[in-house]
Amino acid sequence: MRLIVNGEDHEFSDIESVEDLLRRLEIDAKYRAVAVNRQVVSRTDYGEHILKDGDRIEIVRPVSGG
Amino acid sequence: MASDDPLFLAGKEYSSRLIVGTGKYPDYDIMKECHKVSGTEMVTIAVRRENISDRSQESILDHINTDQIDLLPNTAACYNVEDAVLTCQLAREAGLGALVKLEVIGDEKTLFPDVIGLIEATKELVNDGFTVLPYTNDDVVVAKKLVDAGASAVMPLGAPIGSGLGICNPYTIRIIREAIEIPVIVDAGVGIASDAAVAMELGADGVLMNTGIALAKDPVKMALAMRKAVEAGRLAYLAGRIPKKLYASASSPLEGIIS
Repeated sequence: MRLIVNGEDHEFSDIESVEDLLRRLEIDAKYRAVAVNRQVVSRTDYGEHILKDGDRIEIVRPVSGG
Repeated sequence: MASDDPLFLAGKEYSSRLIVGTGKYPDYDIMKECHKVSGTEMVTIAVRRENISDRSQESILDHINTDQIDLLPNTAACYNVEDAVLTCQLAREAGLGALVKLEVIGDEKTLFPDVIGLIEATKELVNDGFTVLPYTNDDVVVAKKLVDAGASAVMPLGAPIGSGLGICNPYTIRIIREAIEIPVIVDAGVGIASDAAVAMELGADGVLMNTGIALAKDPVKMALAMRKAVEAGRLAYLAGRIPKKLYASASSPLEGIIS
């Protein structure tokens, strides 16, 4: 499955949900948030939210700023 | 901390009237010390894409004393309503809260706000349950529209972000303060302590700054200077300045002068 994660093309096999993707990328969900095709995915739905080919994923975190 | 002159902002009482950023410090230790000596109870943070190939970076949140300091996620670098709204929604989902510093930027060189987009995004976010503190220009008409849109404060710039030019148009800040009921927080432009004092003397309810502290030669000293300036400016505003006069008025008695 081809996914665009944070603006970059990535190819993944054997993943279905947002939860799978985060696990594959070794990203701790704490203080992170995910949007799929510009819709925020509630962290309680990571397991149920099934990804499809071509989905655009944003994974964000807090950083320094003014 | 108790205060006899608290700032009421977004349904909460703050004893500090100084909001500080988390960007541009030489390192996290200096940032943390600046936050401490500034007495701030609210700091801004940004929300950005996770670095997929390098997740080794520390989290900014490990360096903020969140027991005493509230987080104010911003929408810096958002150039349209959709990006600003999505950024706020992501910040909330990330656990950073529903209080946001809303920026909809309209021009790269000046980082001046796109006030039309700002008003629209404010409405959308308020409808979505956010408490919105919009970074705006020093325009009273826009300030009034932001109040109508449901903003919890307005945050006019004193000068362009990071410019350190000070309060370029003190009269417009005063006009905004007189025209609306909600808190006015001067956001951006403060370069040195006297700028912060001027903002407060004009009647601002608070000041938000980042670069003025973070890029000072000694950020920790500047953080303390800013704290004192905000406190001094607030006290002076409450005390009430004397009217300006063109000619002298002697302070010593005119009687009993030797001859």
